[in-house]
Amino acid sequence: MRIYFINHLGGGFANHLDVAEGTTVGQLFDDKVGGDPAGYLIRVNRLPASKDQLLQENDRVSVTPIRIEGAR
Amino acid sequence: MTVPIDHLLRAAIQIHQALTQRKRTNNLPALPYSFWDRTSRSFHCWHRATTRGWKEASRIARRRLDDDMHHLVYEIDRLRSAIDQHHQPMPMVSLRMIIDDLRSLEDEFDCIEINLREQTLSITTEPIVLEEIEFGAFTIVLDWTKIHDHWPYRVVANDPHPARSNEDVTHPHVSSEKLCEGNAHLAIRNALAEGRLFDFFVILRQILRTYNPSSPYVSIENWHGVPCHDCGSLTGDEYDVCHTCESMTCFDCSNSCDDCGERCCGRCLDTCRGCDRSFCPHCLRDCEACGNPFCQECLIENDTCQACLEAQEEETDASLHPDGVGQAPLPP
Repeated sequence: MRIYFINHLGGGFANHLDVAEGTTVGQLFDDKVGGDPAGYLIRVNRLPASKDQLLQENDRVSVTPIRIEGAR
Repeated sequence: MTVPIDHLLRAAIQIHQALTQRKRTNNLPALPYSFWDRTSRSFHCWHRATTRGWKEASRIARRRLDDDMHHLVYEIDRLRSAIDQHHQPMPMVSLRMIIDDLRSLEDEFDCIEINLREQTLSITTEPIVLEEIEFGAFTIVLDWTKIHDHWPYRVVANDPHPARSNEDVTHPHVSSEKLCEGNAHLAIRNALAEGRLFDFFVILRQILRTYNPSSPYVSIENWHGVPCHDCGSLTGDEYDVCHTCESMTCFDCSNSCDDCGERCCGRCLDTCRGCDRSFCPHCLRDCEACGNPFCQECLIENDTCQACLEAQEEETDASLHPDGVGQAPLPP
């Protein structure tokens, strides 16, 4: 099934991805981002998601670091 | 606060038009000439101070040059990504997605405002507190007619708590209503280019919630005071501004030039090697012979100090009378 995945770590690139049926948010995070999920806002269809949430066809998944450093 | 649905739909249509009717030729990136000019001026200041042996002025000029070179490199990187972006196909932006984003923004933020006349979309953050310092709430104002421009948004402090040393700085990473995006620059540009308004506002809010101690306009530890340029201690309401380098110093570290009387920081004042009094760099000149700094009174003639002048006279005498002073050589 197809989902829309936006990774705001780095360049904030958005892509359509094919994932297996039954893939959870946690599995997608481990596969595409990795590390401690507590450091990120993980949303499905713009709403906060739990790691056990099952992905659905056409879901919009975004990963945004909680700490984003500005500069001067 | 809920935005009326007709208001929301009209805004979504206008934003969709702004995103999809872009004329690429109107938005070509430009070379960063102004940053090059600034770097060039800083380089000449540093070069002059260094060749004349003004150690402190050279050190200060070096710091400004570093800053300007850093900004120039940043602008060139941004130019490169703007050129790359220009050659990429226009992203598909659906009206449905924009409507969903606007609705989600209502849920995510306490206050969202759509101004159809000014064509702006604004959200307000919660009061921002970083390391126990309160900065108040900020309103992020996006002008959707400028959504492809370099700065399509402003970050406005609702109840400003600016840094004491610079009232334009309302947050460690906000100056004159501009947020320095740091590493998130590309993510922000991509979110705007693709019409992902929800992502755009969330990224900006996360930047406002984060303090980066390595690169603030004003650091948090110096927020409530003006750090003395020389000793680093925080000054109160009163401080001196160095006449030479314009840095702020406490009264203990600043002094007056013995000639012109202008106040200078301890790093800019130097001692005349002739009379040991303190002068600013403008009132000191280097001896043509030894290169040491002297005040005007201690440079005797031709910008030469007393010691060098005497040494030159001795050398002259020696060359005129190689075998002895005032005596003709004896015949063999």
